[in-house]
Amino acid sequence: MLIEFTVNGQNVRLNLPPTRRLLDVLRDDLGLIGTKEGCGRGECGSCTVLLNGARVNSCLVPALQLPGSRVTTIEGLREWPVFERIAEAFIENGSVQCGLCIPGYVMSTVAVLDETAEQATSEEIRRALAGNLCRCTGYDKVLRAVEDLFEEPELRRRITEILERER
Amino acid sequence: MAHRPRSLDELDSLALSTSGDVTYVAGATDLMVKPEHWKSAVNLVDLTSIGELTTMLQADGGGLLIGAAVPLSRLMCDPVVCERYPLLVEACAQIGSVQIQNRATLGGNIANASPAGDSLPVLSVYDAELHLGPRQSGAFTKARITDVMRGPGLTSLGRRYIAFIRLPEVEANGQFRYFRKVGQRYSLAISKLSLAVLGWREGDRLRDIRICAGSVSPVVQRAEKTEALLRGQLLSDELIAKAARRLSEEVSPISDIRSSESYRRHICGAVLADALHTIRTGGLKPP
Amino acid sequence: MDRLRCGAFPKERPSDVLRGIGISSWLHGAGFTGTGENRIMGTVRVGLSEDGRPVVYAASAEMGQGEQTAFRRILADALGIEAEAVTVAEPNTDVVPDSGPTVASRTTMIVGSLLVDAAKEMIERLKMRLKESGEGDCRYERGVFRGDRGEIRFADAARRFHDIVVEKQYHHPPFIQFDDVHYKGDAYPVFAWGAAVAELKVDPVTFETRVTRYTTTQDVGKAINPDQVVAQIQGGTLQGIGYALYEKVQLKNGRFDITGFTDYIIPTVTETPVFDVKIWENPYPYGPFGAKGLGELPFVGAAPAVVSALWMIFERPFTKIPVLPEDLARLFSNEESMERC
Repeated sequence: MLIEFTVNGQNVRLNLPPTRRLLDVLRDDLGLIGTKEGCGRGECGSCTVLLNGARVNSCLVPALQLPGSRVTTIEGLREWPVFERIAEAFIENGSVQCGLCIPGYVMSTVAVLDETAEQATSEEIRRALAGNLCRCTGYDKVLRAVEDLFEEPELRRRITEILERER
Repeated sequence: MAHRPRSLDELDSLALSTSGDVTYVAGATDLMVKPEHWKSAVNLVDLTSIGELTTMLQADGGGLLIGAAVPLSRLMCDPVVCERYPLLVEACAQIGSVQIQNRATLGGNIANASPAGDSLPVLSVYDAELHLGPRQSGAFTKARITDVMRGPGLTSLGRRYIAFIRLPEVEANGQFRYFRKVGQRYSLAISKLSLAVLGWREGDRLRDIRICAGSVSPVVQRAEKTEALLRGQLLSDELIAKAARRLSEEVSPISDIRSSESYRRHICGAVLADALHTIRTGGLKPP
Repeated sequence: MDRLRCGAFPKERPSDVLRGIGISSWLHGAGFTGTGENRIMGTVRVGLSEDGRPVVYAASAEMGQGEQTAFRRILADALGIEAEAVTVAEPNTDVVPDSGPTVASRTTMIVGSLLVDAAKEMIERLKMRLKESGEGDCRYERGVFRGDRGEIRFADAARRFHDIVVEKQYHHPPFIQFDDVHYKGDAYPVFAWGAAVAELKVDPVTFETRVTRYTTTQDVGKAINPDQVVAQIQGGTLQGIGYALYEKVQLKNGRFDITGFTDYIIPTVTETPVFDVKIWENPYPYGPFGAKGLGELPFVGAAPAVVSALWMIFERPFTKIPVLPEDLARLFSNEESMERC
C-alpha cells in the first residue's frame, strides 16, 4: 500500500504492508529511534507519539490508517520552542534514570499540559499520566516535573496553540 | 487486501462482495494485540475513513446515535454524553489509558466481545441498540448487544459491521446511577468486575432498576433476578444484603490469571451493596 | 472489622476505609559476599587527555543509576577540581580494565574507592614530575600545585604530563576475614541500613489496597549524589511495594503463567505513595568519602513494611507475598472464622 503522511512536519511516502505498526515505520523505516518499544501491547506507553495532535500508542496504529495523518515523535517535539523548558523540568527534578520511558513521558506530558484543566488535582494529573509505565523512578520525580510545568499557564497556552495546528 | 471505503455505500458493497474473511478496523487496539490473527487478516476494512461512523448525532425519536468508530476520548468530551449518559464517561475513562482512549471505540469494545469490556455493562443498562450493516433496502438491522454476543470473544456478526450505537433517552427525574470498575490496579487494568446500576426512585421506593455486571459472565447480561428482587421496593439493610447475595448467585464468574471465581462472586455482591447503600443515602456516585 | 467478621456490610459511612501502619528495619550487605571482591580484584585506570582532563577507565555500566555522575564527582573531589573536567570513557572491554560487574551494590563503594586511591597517586606522580622538571617541591591544595616557583593549576600540570596513567586494584581492607571453606566470618565489608513506615489503606468492600505514604530513612554512608540517592530509594521502594501487593507470578508445568505487562502487574503512577525520604550518613571509612553500596538497599524493606501494615489491620501475620485482594477476601469467607453476631 502506498502511504503518504507527515512525520515531524516532513512529507513521507512509503510502500508498506497495511498491517505494519506505526512504531516499526518510525524506528525501522524512518530511523526515528527516539520512540521506544516497551511491550508492543499498548500497556506501557513507551511508544507514545502524537497522531493528529492526540497521543496514542504507536505500537497499535496500523499503516492502513496513516494516509493523510500528521505524526509527531520526540524528535519532532525537540524542535518545538517549548521543548527546552520541558526538558529542563525533567532534568531539574532528576526525573530521568534509564531513560527508556522518557520519550513517551515527554509526549504524554505535552498532551497532559494541553488536555487537563487548570484546576486539576494531583490525583487527576496522576490518572492522566497512568498510561506511561516506569520501573526505575517510582514516579515521584516525574510527577514533580509535570506538576512544575503545570504551574506555567503561558507554557500550556503555547502548547495548546501548537497542538491546535496539528489537529 | 486493504480497503479504505469513503462512504457507507462503498462499505456495504465491500461487506457484500468481498471474498474471504473481513476484518473491520477502527481503533485497532484489540486487533493488534493478537499479532498472529492481525498479520494473517485476509481483508482489512478501515472504518475510520467514513464520516458517518465517526460522528455523533441526535437520534430520530430521541436519544443519541453514536458512530461505532468514534474514539472514546471524543465521546467523553461530548456535552450530551456528559449530561445525559454520564455512566458512559465514567466507564470509558477507566478503559486502558488516555493513549488507548484516543483510539479505542465502542464498536470495537462490542465486536471484541470480551467479557471484561468495560463499556458493555453501561451500554446494557442504557438499553443500547446496535445498528448493523450492510443495509438492507437502505436500512440498518437493529439488534441488542445480547443478540450478537455468543461467548467470550465470539459474536454472531460475521460479515456484518456495527455502524451505530443508539442510546435511547433516559428519564432524568428521580434518576440514580452508579458505576464501579475493580481491576488489579487503578489504571491500565482489565476488569475483575465492572458494575453498572441505573434506576429511578419515586419517593423512597425504587421505581425501576437496571443492573449489569461485567467480567463475571461469559457474555454480558442484565441481572434480571436481582432487578426483580429490588424493583418497586423500599431499600432496607436487609433487602440490600439479600440483593447482594442474589447477584453473587446470579453471575457465573471464572478463575483466571487475573482473579478467582470466589473473589469475583464476593465483590459482585459487595459492590452492589455499596452501590445500593450509596443510593439510599441519596448519593449518586461511589466515593 | 467487626462488621466484616460478621458478614455484614462493612461500611457505616461511604468514606469508611481500613487503615494500617507498618514498620520495617533492615540491612543489606554492600559489595560481593565473602571473598567475592578479593577474587574479582576489580581494577580501574585513570588517564589524562591531551588537554589535561582526567579520564576514568572502568568496566562499570551506566544504566541510569547515575554511575557516571558518581565517578566524576568522586574523582573530581578527590583531585580538588570541577566534576565537569572529568570524563568517563565508554566501557568498551577492548579498552577498559575489568572493574567487575555492575551488580551487588558495589559500583560506588568498591570501584569508586579505587578512584579515590587513583587520585591520590595521580597527584603524587604529578608532584614528582613537576619536581623533576625543576619546579621544586610542591604542595597540592584544592586543585593547585604550590611550589617555590609559583602556582600551577591541575589542568596545566596534567596537560604537561598527560602520559601519566594510574591503575588501582581492589583488595578488601585487612580487618575483613571470611572463611570460604566453612562460610563463616565477615560476609560483607559493611552493611547499609534502612527503616521505613508504610501507611496503607484497604477498601473494605473490595479489599483493594493502596500504600498512601512511605516514610523512610536510609543509611548510605555518604550520598555522593543526593538527588539520585533519593531517586534510587523511590524506585526500589515501589518495586518492593509491587512485590508486596501486585506482582503475582506462578509456575505452571515449568513455565511462567504471565505473558507480559498485561498479566504481570507493576505499579503505575496511580499506585505510587507520597514519599518522605531522608538520607542518613554513617560513613564507611573504606568507601569513597564514606559511601556504602545503595542499589539494592531500598527494595529490601519495602514489602515488609507494607505487609506489617496489613498485619496491623487484619491482626494476623501474612507469610506469602503478594497479598492480593483475593487473599484478603478469603479471610472472611470461611464460615468457621465468622464470629457469632
